[in-house]
Amino acid sequence: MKHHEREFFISTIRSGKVFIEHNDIFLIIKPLTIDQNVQASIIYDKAYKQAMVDGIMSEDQISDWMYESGLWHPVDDEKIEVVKKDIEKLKIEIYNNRNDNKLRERIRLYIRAAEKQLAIQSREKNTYYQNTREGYALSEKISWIIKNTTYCENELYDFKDISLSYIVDEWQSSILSESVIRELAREEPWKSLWSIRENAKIKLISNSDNEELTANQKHLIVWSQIYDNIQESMDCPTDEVIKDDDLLDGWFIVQSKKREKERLEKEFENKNTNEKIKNSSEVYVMVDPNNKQSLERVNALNDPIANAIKKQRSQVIKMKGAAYQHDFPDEKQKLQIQATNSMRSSIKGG
Amino acid sequence: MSHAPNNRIFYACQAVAIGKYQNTGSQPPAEPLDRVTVHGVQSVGINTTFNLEQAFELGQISIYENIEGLPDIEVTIEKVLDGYPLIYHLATSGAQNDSLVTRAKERCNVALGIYADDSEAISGVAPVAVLMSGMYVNSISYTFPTDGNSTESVTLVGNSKGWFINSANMGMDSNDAQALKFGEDTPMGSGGIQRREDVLMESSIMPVSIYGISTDIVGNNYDVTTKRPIAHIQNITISTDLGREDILELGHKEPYYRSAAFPVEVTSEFEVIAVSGDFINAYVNGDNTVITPIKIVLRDGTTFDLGTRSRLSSVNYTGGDAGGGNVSTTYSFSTFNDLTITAPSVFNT
Repeated sequence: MKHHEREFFISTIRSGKVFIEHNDIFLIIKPLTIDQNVQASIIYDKAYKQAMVDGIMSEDQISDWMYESGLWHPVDDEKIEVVKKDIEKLKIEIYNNRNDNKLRERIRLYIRAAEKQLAIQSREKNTYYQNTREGYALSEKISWIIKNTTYCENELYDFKDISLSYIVDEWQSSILSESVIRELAREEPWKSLWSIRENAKIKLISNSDNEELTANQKHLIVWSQIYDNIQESMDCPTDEVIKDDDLLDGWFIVQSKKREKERLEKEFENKNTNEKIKNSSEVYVMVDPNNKQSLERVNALNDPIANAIKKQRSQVIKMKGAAYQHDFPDEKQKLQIQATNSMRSSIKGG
Repeated sequence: MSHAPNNRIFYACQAVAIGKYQNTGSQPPAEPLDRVTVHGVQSVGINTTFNLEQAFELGQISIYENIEGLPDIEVTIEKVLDGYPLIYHLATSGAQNDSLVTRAKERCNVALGIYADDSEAISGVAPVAVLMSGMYVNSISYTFPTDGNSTESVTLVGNSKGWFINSANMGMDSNDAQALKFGEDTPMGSGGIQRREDVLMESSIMPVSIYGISTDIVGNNYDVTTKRPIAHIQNITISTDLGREDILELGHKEPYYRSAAFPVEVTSEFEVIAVSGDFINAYVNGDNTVITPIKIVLRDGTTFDLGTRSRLSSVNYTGGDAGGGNVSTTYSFSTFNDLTITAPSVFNT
């Protein structure tokens, strides 16, 4: 994004308004006031109840109907989960391979492809959302918001020359994507405004006191705070990582997993007071067969080396059917090191 | 907190089963006989050590032969005391009586059902089993704390350990998951998992050296009027180490027998809130301590009888710091070869 584009977005976001120009008519959509927000919620609630009376299915009912009609299968849900996990794995991979330009860019292509796949699958799943109670109620709520916040020359607009649906579309398209917001948050002109806001006593947002923050305003502030927190992190990534959304997402996931592992380790150490077990080379932790998360929690205790050893061992067991401890590559390696050390000390001693 | 090594490998465990050792000489070892799933297991730790011995010869820099000795397997299992069979009893099943000397002779097989790394389902047959055969009980320890569950920790030692993909053939089939009631398992003994209130002072004998305990009869730490304990015991630990020694024989690599190093010391520790001093005298001339019986009875019917000849070996008077901590006195007792643990008759194998 060029500087002037960022400048445009930032000034628009700061104003809190959406500016629409169509056939020489200038419209302004103002931010919702707190009272209007309450009214909008009441409209949603009324529409939802009316839809229920009219026999419109809820989101859950539509979901059940889609399963029953064969339009959606449990396996499709699993596919979505798999793609989500794949994206997570790829983001870790891209972070880990950030210094290998060729590989990094290849992984980035995979991420984009996976995201595209996820978008297609999510869209398919939500095909009938508009026909649900929730979809209907949301549409009523948005229509009410637009009708009550769209102004033309300081008067509420009457929608004679421009249709409501056109303005709704414009309003929805004014909500910026996460990647744009992230770029705005970390680049000029916002970056310096954000950093001097307290010393210079700048009013970053021009909303009046009773006006709610818009979606863009909230996202921009949240991301600005996230970037501040990253800079304060003990394990702060490089600027190259911070400026690349995929790399930074990878860093987030890696940090989150690291923290989770530390938390689980601490929990394990506190829970298990038996020093013999804690200091064993293989620790077996009982898992609840009804709770798959308990299995994942145990596996999360392993560091990458332990995970690699487990994989190697698993392959040996699968291949041989039955294996002894000394068949495992890690044990062979240990024996090799032991032999080398003994030989070295024997030669030195001799 | 101890500094745990960072090279540990964690496995998700489905069930632990212990059965009688059958010396068939088969390789891999045969499935445990009369296998019983251990209930209330908290965690298990296994250490495997390979012992190498190098032989060199004059005139050659390279090794002449790198001789692999016996692998040492050490497995430690910890469970809560919950009315189900004790690990110690399962590991020494078939003993003629409950004495430590007799039970120490028995051997067992231990099987662990573990989940594969990539396991999606966590019910049914464990995809991989670890089997350790011909294991001897090496050390046992029981803890009765005031702020947690009473636990049993048993360390077994042996020389054989194998991993098997077909766990059903190795004594870790779906019966084990069934034994644990597929996540619906509950403690069986009276009082559930045994905690501080489940130590029956009216049926137990606490050592007479503890300040406030004046007789050596059953219920000596129980005030029948107030129906409350006399001495305010915070923690009891009973432990013993059999110190197994290899007895080897010509014509066989595996030890012929791993004998316990008798006499075996059985120690017990009693941490007591100090309401005054420890009142233990230490005179140069004469005896300062007396022999005392020790017996601990739990609500679930488990009894720990340390015989009648325990003797105070040390006393520590600690705490009472400026921060307001309580003063506690830890009395350590020692006896030899006397540790008879009996459980409710149905499991008194």
